[in-house]
Amino acid sequence: MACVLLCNTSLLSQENHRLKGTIVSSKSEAIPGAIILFDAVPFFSDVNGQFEIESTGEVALKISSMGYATRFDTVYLHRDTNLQFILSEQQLELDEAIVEEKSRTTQNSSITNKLAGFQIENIPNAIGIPDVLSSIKTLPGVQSNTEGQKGLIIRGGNYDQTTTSVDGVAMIGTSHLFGLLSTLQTDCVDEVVLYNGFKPPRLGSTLGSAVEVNLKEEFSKENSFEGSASASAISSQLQSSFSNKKLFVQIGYRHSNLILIQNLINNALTVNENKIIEAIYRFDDFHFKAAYLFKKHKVQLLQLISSDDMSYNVDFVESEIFRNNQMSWRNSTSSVRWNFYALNGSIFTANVSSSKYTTGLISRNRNAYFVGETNQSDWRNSVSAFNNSVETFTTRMLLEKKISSDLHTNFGYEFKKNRITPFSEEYWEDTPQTQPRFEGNTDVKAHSLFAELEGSLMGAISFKAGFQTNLFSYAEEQEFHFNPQVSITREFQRNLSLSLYSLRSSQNVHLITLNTLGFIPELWLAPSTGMPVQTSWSTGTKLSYTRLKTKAFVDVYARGMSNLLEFGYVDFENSINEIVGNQIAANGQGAVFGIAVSLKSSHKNLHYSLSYSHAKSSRLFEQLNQGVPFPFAFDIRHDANASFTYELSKNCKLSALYTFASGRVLNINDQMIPIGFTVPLGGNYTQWVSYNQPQNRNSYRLGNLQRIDWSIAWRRPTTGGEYNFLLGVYNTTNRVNPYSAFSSVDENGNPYIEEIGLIPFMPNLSISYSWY
Amino acid sequence: MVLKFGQIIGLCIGLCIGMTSCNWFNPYDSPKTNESLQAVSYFLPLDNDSSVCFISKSQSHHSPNKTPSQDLCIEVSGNGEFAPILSCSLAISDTASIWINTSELTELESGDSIYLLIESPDFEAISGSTVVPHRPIVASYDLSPRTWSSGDKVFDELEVHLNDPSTYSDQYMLQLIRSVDTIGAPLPRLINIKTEDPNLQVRKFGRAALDNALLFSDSHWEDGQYIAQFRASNNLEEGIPYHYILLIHGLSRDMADFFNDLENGDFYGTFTSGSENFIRSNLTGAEGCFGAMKTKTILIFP
Repeated sequence: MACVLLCNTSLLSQENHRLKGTIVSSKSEAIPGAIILFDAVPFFSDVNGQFEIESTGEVALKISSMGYATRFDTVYLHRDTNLQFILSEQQLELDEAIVEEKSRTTQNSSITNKLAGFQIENIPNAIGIPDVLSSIKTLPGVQSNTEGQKGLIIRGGNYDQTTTSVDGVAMIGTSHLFGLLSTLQTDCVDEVVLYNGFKPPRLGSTLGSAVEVNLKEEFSKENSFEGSASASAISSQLQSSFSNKKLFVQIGYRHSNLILIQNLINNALTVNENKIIEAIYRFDDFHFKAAYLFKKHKVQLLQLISSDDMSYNVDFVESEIFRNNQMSWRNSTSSVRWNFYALNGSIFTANVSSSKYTTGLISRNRNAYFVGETNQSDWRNSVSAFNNSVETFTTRMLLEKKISSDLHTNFGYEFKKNRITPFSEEYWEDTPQTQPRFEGNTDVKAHSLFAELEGSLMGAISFKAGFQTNLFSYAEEQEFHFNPQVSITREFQRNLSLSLYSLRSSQNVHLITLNTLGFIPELWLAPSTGMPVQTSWSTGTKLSYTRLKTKAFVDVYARGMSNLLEFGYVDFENSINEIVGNQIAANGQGAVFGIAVSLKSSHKNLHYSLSYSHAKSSRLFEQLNQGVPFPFAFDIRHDANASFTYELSKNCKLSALYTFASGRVLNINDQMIPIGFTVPLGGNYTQWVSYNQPQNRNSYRLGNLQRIDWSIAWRRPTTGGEYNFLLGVYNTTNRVNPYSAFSSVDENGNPYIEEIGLIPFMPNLSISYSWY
Repeated sequence: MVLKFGQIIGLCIGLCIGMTSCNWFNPYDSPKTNESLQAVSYFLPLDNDSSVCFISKSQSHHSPNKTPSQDLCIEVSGNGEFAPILSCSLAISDTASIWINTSELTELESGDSIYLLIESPDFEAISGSTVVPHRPIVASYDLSPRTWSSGDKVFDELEVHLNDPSTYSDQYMLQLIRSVDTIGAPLPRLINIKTEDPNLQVRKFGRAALDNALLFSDSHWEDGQYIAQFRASNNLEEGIPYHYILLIHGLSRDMADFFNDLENGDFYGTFTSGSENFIRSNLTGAEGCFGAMKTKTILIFP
């Protein structure tokens, strides 16, 4: 990111003089985007490495840039001056330093994965649209076989265990199209950092990994108006930003165009002419961000809104049976953030945010109903509703401070309040009845203190150590959790390092999913007596190799989880109180171990990335599966990705992505047992009744997923802008990648399991124009 | 204090172990998948001359069974004064219904034991035992035709006064058959029963395949007496003659447990020990139930 900012502080006066500086490397190459800290206010060099400030007298500057040693200079300004500042290269690769909030100077990134905006665009994913979520799924340890599943499944946890922090605001539900697309528009994203093993305490509000998304924020010397408009068969999108030296405003809106390919979707889903399926999907998202700089302060407003609606109808042609399902997901997040840049280089951040995530399902099914009085079948319509809402209010204060040249700390306090309201009902349409509201606990509050210290020891050893303390209050209960964490990295040679990390985490909300269909229903619950706050620990060892354009690592890890919840036998005819009270198994444990391997490199015009992970994830509940372990629903043993990008020319590149993943597991009735009964009529009458007899819990594993996606991107610059054409194909071979399965009976009456896929071959042409 | 690299690694490993000691189990310690289940259901009606024993095998949805025909013999014996009864048959599918002449068992007394043994060269022997239950004692009964209505439906109300036959815990099942007494009338059929009495559990586990019944025990009876009140829909035109056949079965304890487990599992019970909705079995070598029942039959006319 290259930004230019002019100094306009209170020090300015008629006696001020202008300092024009140029930041270059030791090879005299301009360094754009370097950070110049003057009087605790950050400025940035432009694309030519230049910056400009106005002041007088002694001017102390701190100049830093990714991959270069930080330089401190003092200049005495008594007239307009032009100076060149040379930064010497560090022994780190570019990827190995992450600058956040433009002043965080050190970060041991050998235990993180980072995707910049340009890398996201290079991966052909999500039906031809560059996307944050799909790009993250190509990273090692992140499960690719989640087609039809929402969110990110990382290291054996469900998607609630992954924190998605957008500009410091934790969000729930950041996906469209069952996880294929992120609700965050790629054009609005600057950088994504995935912490899939070790994460900072400030992101420690869930059990598992953390995804930190930094949205774009670019100030400019003069009034600047930029934007882009794009259209494809999937969506239309418009985003625009305005910036000057003090203000940055960005607005984005996206609307699905899937109705344009409705026939294609319906034809792909309807594989049986006796069972006509119609799936209508619509999604929208809105993005607004504004940041204002004044003196040593910055104020930021953020508003993110997204919605998904799906109508999934099945018509059984030869009978009166039909299924009508309406699903919806809504997310609304607002935040206000204030930054103060102190004279000593410290940064104080305070933010207040609120969000509401709702999920709903209404099913209307027409079924044959046996009427005892007439001894005949009749047709009746049943209605099922399943709704959930999670409201979150958070306020947080964070102080980041550099103690010495190789010691950095951040610490803070957070208060979070969640209100979770589940609801479920099922009734016959001709005899409607209202189920009671949820009578269990809905609220949980958490007061958290967190701190982190990072630095280096004896030169070749860097460390991070921190903790998070949580005081959870819910119902009549209080829980105090102390979660320490530590990471130590030793550089053995110039290019080789070994990291050890270990941490504990707590999570104040529960998510339970049925996982048969993956996306419905999802039941969120606040902790309550008998269902305490979830905890986990994670530890691992990571061997990293970095040299020039090549980066590789091997990561071996283990995780344990406590106080998990899982559906037992659940009957949605019951009220939500009955379901939560009697049909959920509590106090479960999770155990996960795995290995992740990654290689990223490039050769001439070819850039490639290979990743593979092997993992085992299990659950243990005293009340379930005879009290012995069973596989977690997303126990995906093998997961591999290979992505390639070849630059055909300066403006044209070809990308391909191959994905392989083991099938996930389902808890379906895969065995049937007939039991004979006598009926006391006439004395000689017998009747068989078949009972489904599930084998071990989650004993059915779906078939493997294999997919090839590719895209070709062509860029055509024009005066004041550029056109971008992206032709992409998702699932090139039109393979039916199973995402669920049902017990069924064939035409000969033999039981079998029918696996169903979700997304067929799907081409997409995206045309966009960006102006600047 | 300056730590050496080895000390730092040791400290880190110690921290890791400290954290990991919180909880852990072997994720690979998963149970073997059950290949196939054998089920037997034999509800021996001690008032009938014959009975039927059902034998079945579970059918996997992954791969349908390829069961060859099986020779099997069923032996019923007991401590009463009768010789063991033997019935052999050839089962040619996954389900087999074996008829057994049990006329000699009608003389068995409550508390006698009955033993079941099923042998075949194709599977391990299946065995079980049950205890003869007490016959229910009906002190009186009453039928009030068309006295209860809901919407456009009319119900007959019935009341049965029961006396406790023993000091032991007795289990019961009640079924109601209606017979229309006109020429050309349809065959008698079981009638669904409704009740507001929380002590009478309406059997639903057979869904449409088995008409409902009332399951209950004497645990709620006071002074050895109980009045069971229930109703049945009457969709006959007024004036058409009919009568009810009320069957009150005294169930052996194992049979009552089996039916109650099926009912509690609401069609989703499993025979897997320790699982949710576990269905108990009193058989060795198979899942299911060997039970006995003694029935009191009453004809009730309006």
